Amino acid sequence: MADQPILSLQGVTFAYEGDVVALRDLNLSARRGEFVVVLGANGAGKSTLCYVLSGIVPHIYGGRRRGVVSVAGLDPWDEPLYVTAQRCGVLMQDPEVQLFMPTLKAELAFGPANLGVPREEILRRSREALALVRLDGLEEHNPRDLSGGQKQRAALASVLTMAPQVMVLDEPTSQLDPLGRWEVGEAIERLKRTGDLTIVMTTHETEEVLHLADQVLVLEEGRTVLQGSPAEVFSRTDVLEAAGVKTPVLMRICAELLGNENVPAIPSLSDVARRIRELVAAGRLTVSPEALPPPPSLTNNGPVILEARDLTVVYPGPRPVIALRGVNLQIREGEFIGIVGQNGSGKSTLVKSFVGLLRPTQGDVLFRGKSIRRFSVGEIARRIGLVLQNPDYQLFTPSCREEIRFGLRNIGVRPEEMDARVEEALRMVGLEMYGDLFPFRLSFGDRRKLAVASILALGPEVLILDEPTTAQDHRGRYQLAELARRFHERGGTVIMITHDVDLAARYAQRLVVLWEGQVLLDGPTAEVFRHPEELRRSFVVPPMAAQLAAELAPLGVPSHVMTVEDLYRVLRPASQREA
Amino acid sequence: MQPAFRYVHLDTPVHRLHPLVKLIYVFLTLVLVMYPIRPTDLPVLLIWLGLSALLWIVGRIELRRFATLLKILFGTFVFLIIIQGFTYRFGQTPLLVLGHLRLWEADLGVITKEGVWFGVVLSVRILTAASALPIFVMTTPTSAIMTALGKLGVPRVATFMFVSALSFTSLLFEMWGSIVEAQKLRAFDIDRMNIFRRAFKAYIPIITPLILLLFRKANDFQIAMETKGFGSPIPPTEIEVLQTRPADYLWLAFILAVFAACTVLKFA
Amino acid sequence: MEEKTTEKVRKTATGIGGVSIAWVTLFGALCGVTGLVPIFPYVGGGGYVPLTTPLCAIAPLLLGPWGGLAAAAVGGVIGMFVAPAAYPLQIVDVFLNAVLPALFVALMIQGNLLWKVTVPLFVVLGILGWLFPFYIPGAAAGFGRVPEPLYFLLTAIYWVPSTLIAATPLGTRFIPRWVRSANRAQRYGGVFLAVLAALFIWWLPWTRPYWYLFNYSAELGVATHIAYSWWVPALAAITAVITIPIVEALERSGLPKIEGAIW
Repeated sequence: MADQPILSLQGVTFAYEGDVVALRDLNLSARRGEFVVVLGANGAGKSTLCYVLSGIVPHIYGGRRRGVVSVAGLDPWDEPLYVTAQRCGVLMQDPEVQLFMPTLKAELAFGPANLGVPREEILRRSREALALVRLDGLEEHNPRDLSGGQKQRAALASVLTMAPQVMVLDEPTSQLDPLGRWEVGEAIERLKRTGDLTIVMTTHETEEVLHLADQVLVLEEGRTVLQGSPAEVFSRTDVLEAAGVKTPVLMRICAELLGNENVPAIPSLSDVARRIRELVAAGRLTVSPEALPPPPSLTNNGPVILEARDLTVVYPGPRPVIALRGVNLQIREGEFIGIVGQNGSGKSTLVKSFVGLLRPTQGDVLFRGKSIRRFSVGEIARRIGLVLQNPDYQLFTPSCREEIRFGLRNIGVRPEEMDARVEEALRMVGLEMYGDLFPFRLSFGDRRKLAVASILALGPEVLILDEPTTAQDHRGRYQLAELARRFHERGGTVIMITHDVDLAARYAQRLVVLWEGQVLLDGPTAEVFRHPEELRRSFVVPPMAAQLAAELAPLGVPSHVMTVEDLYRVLRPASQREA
Repeated sequence: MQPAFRYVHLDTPVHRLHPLVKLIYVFLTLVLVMYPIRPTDLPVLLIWLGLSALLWIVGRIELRRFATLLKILFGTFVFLIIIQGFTYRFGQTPLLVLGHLRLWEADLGVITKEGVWFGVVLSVRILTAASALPIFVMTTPTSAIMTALGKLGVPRVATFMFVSALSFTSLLFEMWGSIVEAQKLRAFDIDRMNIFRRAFKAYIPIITPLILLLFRKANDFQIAMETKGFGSPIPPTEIEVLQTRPADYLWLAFILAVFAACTVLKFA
Repeated sequence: MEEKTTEKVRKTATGIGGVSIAWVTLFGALCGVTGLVPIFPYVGGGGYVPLTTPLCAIAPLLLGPWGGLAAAAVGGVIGMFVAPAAYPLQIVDVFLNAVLPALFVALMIQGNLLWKVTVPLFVVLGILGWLFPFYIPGAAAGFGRVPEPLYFLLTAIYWVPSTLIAATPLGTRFIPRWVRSANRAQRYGGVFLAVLAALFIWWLPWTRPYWYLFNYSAELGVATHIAYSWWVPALAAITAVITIPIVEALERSGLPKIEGAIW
């Protein structure tokens, strides 16, 4: 019986109402305790697969289905949701809407209480679930008061109390910061270790699930393009790239540089470093430090454009929160700066102070030497543009053009000048084809681009991007950063808040690390990444390529290697060098 | 935008009091303030206000919350005192004469002492009415309210909608703030608009994205509740058990006694 | 388990009048929290009308009549908890501030035989608005004598036009059609007229309990009727201005349509 699949899909095709085909001829089988990872670009059909398994399709999203589905012995298509829910639990991306009860205790009891489970049993399940997600002791807390990672763990626990046999996790970490991702990842790992539950998880974060997965399924436009063990799937870097899926960096290096020879199927950093050392010693790889140009120096003598001077910001309340403590920071014209740090470190507070959304409690913010307090909202908007993480907080007009016009009207641009500026902004972000489209209908990535366009149209001298990679898939993750790069090339100053160290390594010339409202590190990006101990305090881990470069420093690999591309320049197969 | 009155987690006799007893107090307040009023009714109102003050103190609710309440009602008090001062039909003793404009029953050019006094009595009436609900809100956790509503026979769907909507309020406050910030970044300066411009112009760029965003989130919320069995035909399990303690009966008796005393005093 | 091709349309287990509980709850929460957003002063009491009132008024336009009413009720109760100081009459205020605006707008946009309910209801509310509090309880509760027929005529401003709109083809045919029209001008006009008629009739039950509580004098009663004759159209205009962009956005959004809503 144990070998019987608990979950099985045979030839499943599904189309939403309106005949939008989301899954095509899908086959999947998983046994009890198995961990299935589903990968794919946005729109590949990952969420639809989750909906098919959990009965959300067709009970909440209608449509047409062909093929056979069996989840813990029943077909979710034919059963009411509350019946499927007893076998298959589902956790979605956004914890905010999955928590709706006044206390954690009530939240966990909500599901089983709806099914008439005896009170004592509910309390027992709640205790176990809370222990598993490490939230015991917080039963009486309001879930809204928890941190992002805690909220998602609470949502996970509230599904676990339904005692499902199959758990579907739809990008459970995509909206969390690194600490939250680590917390939820750890909880999922413990869930897997219980051995009872079959888990299907969709994600873009391949590195996080690499060691958990028993089976990996890669989807592209609703079709299976790869399926098998992690080693089998991740060795196909070409197919993964084509499908818009990130290959874990170490596996990519193994496949592309080391030919997957003499390294474990799922290698660690030291495995890869060891193999490189062996190949260098054998003369099959050469080290060419000179092939990598030195990092651009930070001898920017441009004028200071933005300055935080002894900046302290305190959020008032019964327990006042000091978000920034005497921060001193000078940003010169033409710089491209990354700001990293975990949630609560003061990143958002700092940039909101830059644009006047927050007033300093002490100290000041200066734009070209003048206190920001002297500027009106409109005057600031013309000089400093901040693009927030969620474009949906600003888009409200009937068309993309109108959306850009809104800001221009607010700053008093003359009507005859308006159209040219609108078209130029749309062109800059590549949305000129969608000028008349309702912004809500654009993909998330395009909505973010439109948000950038609506800010760029105001003609700012400084562009600030808040988390440009949020909720983007592998293919789309650098689109906003590329826009920022082009803005920078035209002489603009860019500040980028990010958790993505790969992004910072690729684009930022200077990196500022914030920790508990203070500047922990500030310097050239490569230089900052050479302080792993300090970075760890702020939950920042240097990029994998930089870590590998540090391991390989005795071979002469320069310390300013930060990306895989940098590494490939320095480490080259001997035959290539000769050629 | 943040609520001035919300539940504060403390362990006081008022917090421990059965929510139905507190609901009875709130309801009796409504009945009392709706009694027909005369200028001589001030002691009746003050007695009930005294009861509210007692609950306020025993519940260890901060005094500054009371100051907030007064601040919110200040405009109404001023309005009542001035308007009654000018228009009270039994006003006889002039306090301030601005002229004479007799219209039907009152001389609108004269502020009378009796009118001002009646305005004060009416202000106490409003204060009495307005102080009951904050006590209930600040001392009663939502889970207890939910159980109490269930006990009162309120349908489960209605209770659920109320409880979940209340839980979403903090998310909405956050979203409201974020949207205002996002629009300010495009030079939309709501803070500098006058009341009329604001009424006609300011809310569209805030409310429209908020509603679109909410309706988008609503699908996930629907999924979350229905995949947890909400709407199943199975009779649900009661998790919160509200215990009735002797102290609840004592408080109830005390509240009823004060109400009876006020009623007798009013109509005697 | 045999292979099959089946089709099912969206059908949630929990809904009110064809709209999901989730939508009703979240819109209700929005109506509630906007109790803290003052949008328009009211002259007869030293306070402000919160954004709750226009949002509750448009709830039936966005969520259909039943969903809108339910959302308004949720919003009223949430408003009472979020801004308790603004709800001195507690559950009565929930009806006055939230449920009644939604109810009257819901009645005004129904193109069916509901005018048979609407018209008598408006007449009854009009007569009650005239009688309370100056005649009932009247002098027994300390209220003065209002001048007649002036007071009756002033009260009539608030219910006779609304009743006439509801009883004639304007209300039974045109307004329900205009609010759903693709023509922007017609839609603005339809929403404005529907909300105007609804808010005029709403004003009577909304004010009377407070007149009783504030012990309004006859002079103030008359003056307030005059002062609010421009105020109600202004509030209706604000409501219409807020509504149309929301409705247009929802139409373009691709979100599932709601039966009875105007988008």
